[in-house]
Amino acid sequence: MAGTVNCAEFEELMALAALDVLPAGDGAALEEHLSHCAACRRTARAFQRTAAALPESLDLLQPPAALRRKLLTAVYAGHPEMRKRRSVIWKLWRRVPQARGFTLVAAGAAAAAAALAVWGASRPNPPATAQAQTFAVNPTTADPGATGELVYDPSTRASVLTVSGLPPTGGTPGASPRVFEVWLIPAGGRPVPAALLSRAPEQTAWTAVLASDALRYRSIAATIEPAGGTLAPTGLEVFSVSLTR
Amino acid sequence: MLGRGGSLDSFDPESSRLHADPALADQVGMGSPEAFEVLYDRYSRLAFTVAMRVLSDEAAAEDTVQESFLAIWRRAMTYQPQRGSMRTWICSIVRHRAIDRLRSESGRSRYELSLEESREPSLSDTWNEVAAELSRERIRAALGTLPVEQRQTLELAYWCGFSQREISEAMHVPLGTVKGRARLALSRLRESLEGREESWQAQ
Repeated sequence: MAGTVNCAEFEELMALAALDVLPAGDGAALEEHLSHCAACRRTARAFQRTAAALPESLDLLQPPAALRRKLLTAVYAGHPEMRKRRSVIWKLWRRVPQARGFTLVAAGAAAAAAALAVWGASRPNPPATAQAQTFAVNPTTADPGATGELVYDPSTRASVLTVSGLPPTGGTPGASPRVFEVWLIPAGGRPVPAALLSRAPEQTAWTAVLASDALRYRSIAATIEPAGGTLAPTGLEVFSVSLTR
Repeated sequence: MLGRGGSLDSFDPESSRLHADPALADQVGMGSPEAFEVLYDRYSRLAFTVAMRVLSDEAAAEDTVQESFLAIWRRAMTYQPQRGSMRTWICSIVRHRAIDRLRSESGRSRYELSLEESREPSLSDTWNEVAAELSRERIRAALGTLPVEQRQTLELAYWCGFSQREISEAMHVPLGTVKGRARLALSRLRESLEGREESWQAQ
């Protein structure tokens, strides 16, 4: 360990820092010293390790169960990419019999309603049955072939969007594929990112589950965005859904 | 923000026990609620225990843990494995929030401290290297070897969020003594926990 007076003084500062009580004014001097003193860097690391051991001395307590419920509800409900719900839709899609001549959209609505019912049942308080509302997908000049529906379940306030007739997402070959990003648009406000459309390999329709209450918004729009989505729309709008009646 | 396309689908909650923290942090950062659930189940007891240790109030501790985990959910992308273990990161987030709450409730100013939310150690903390060897009893035994004034200094700083000046006032000693006791306490603990003959010298 370094024996100079200087290093001993800095060791005291390192101890305070490891305990998170280093006075704000001393930070710069300590960092400067550590940048050129390897021995003190070792000591600083050791002090950090030692301080990190302090919580391990405690007997563990069990947090209240309500805390877990509250957190998971917030995280699952606020989350645009709900893959668990999408997987429910995939399974339902596969069961739609082609022979009965269901249109893609009608099959989607039926699957969507069923998916919402399953999802609703898996939540802590299963909802009472209520009539789902449907809203039509409107094409844009950029994509006149877009067609589909948004099915809204009033009891869970979640929606399932089913769309077909979308163009290829395009993008440079070899790069990550672009995505269809869905936005919730409030009256007079900025679009809020809600979901990315997904599609099972053997299907032609795209779907998304929107956990946020769509009826709090004026409309929905979808754009083509870079892989992973963006925080604000940048690409071509491919369809919209009007939510006001 | 939403991930690298396709890799979200690879998270399987059933095999979560096999997921090491960095992979889990990665998945949480990419927005996987399932990964977050595993993370919560892995660390909620420690987080709640730390909050209770600071606050001694179950409702306040519950609030603190909830806020902390929501912050972790929003900021999991900022976690850097090379900067320290996830366990320590979560502990420090919870402890800092709990201390903030304690300080604001008691009216103590926090301006003199450089406490930032989830401030990570500026050097790599290699908790994982020592974790395997450390047991609760061993750490308690090590704390027990400290002279009472050093233990109290640690307690006031680490669990009560007292500044150096506040410790000096509470213990009726000069600032220099507070610093010296902090250094001695950590040096001695380090020696006990790491089992090495350190030739540290008291000033």
